[in-house]
Amino acid sequence: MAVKIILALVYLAIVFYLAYKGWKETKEASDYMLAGRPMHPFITAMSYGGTFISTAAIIGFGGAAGVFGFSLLWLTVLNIFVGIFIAMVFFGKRTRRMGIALDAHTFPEFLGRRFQSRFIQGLSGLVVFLFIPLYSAAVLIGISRMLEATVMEGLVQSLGLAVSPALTATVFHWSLVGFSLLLAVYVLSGGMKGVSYATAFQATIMVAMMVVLLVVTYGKLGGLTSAHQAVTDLANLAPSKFKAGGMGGWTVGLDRGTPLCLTVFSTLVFGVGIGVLAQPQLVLRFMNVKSDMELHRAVAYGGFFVLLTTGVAFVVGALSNAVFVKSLGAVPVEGALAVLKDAVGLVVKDEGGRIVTPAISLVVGQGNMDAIIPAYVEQMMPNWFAALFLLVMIGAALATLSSQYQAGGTALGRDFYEMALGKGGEGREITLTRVGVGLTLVMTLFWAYVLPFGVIATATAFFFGLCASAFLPAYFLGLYWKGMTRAGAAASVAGGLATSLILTLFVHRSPASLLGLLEGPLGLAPGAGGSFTDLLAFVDPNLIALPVSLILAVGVSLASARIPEDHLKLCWRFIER
Amino acid sequence: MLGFGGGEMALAYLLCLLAALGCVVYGLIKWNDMGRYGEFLEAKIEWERKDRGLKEHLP
Repeated sequence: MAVKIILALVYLAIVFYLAYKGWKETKEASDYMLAGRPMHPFITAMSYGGTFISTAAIIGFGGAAGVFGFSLLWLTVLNIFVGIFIAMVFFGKRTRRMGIALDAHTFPEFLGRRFQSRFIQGLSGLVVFLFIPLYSAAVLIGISRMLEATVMEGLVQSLGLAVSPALTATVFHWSLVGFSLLLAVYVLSGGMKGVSYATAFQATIMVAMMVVLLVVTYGKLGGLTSAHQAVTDLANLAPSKFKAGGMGGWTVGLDRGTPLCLTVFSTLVFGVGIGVLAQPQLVLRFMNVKSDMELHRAVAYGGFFVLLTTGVAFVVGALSNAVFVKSLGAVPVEGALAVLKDAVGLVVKDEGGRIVTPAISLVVGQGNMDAIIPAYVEQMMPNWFAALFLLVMIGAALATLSSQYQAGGTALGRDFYEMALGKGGEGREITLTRVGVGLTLVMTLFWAYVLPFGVIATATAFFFGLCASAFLPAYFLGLYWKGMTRAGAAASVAGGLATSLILTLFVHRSPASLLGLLEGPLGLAPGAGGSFTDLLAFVDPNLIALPVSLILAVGVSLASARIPEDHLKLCWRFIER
Repeated sequence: MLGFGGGEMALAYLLCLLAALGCVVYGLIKWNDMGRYGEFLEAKIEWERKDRGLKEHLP
């Protein structure tokens, strides 16, 4: 425990020093929002990667891989190919040049200025402000679960306290509040410049830690192929409802056309994989880059970074099943596990009059997939690693959350209040943004309290998918098509948003969490599959809303007045000679 | 293959590695590439930045 506290203090001292360094350099409103533009390529790549990949990806999606297996690796493929390569090469370069030409300081402002529309800027700002807290809550829950696991381990070992749901919940709730307070100090003093330095710092350490995590995990299972084989051999331990829902094991693909497959691929893989392209806090990073050369270099750093973070997290998440079963064997079915047994159909056996179940990851997490990676790190990794990993996750959460709060704050202060409502004035930008940051923080805390177990992956996917439906067509066509009009962009943003929200509220069989698919009255019956319309309810709303948004963008643009030629020249003046 | 229960997972695993390798190769090839009209446009952008910076510091 003492080692953990000392390491935590040293780490936090470095992170706060970097935030202070940023604060000293924050002189103007544009510095606060954009970190002044020029940045080193390594800082660019690492801060982009650190903002993109956070505790939500490592803990939430790593936990999802613990439950659903290696299928999550398809998300890593998209994270690298779309989230890094496509994003930087086809979006980043033009965004930077157009952003500078238009003097845009936020993503909504970029859209608003590109299409000369206060409505688009205001609506986009409002969407970001209202919904980014859900994503921030996913990240906050992730780090709080990690803190909960560490504190509980400490309480049990040092004070001999018995683990109880009430104590665990108390520790979790205090973790939420404590971390939010830490974050408030960090963000409101640092601004983005400090955030970028600190993000790059923590991202670098995160890579090293993930490599150790991977090597140790493969080592525990006897090497690469035998580790995968060990998980393959566990296929008969998969809960019966998982099998009925389309999952034959942790190392085989999900059965096509099953609700589980539709949910995992349309919501997690597609939603997050594509949605990354229109993330306000990530688009902002492109505008910080010094030149195209830095972006080219950032592709090299970024691809490697994502592989070693999400790739490792998903592999370790899936492998954790074999490590847990090998180390813990079977555990008694009692308390929360008795409920889980009936909900998902755990494999059980009678062992001398005691009902036990194999310690697969879902069982060790007590049915909460968000608790799997924290439990794995605390219970299966060396003590020193657990301490350092916690710090890395704290750093990752600080970086991502501060970027999210920044995006939420500027969306409210600058994009909605000042630009769309036409209020505010000279010198009030920083104050308004800070009020927005504070409100985003409070809403995040609220969501973190009310959202259920195992929600990190779905909450993240919701925000990513919504951003794709609302912003992606207008953003992409705005970068590449001079025929895209103001009306086309407005119709695309409003139509994509409305379609996504309507489908989410009235059509989608939206589980409160992924495990909700297997529980309750909406849960999957054995052999579930059903008719086309039944299955449609499991398709992520954004898989429909995104094409709708794209059709509106093109269709309305073709039928409406073009943007004036002189404005197009302004937009393209750093793109064409 | 590689101990996986199905070829699809082995493919996903290998594609992760290939995608990352592709990014590294792309980045290395383009390491010093300033982009289309690179130096000309970068000079314009730099001038614009400095101009804005000066204006922001005006009393």
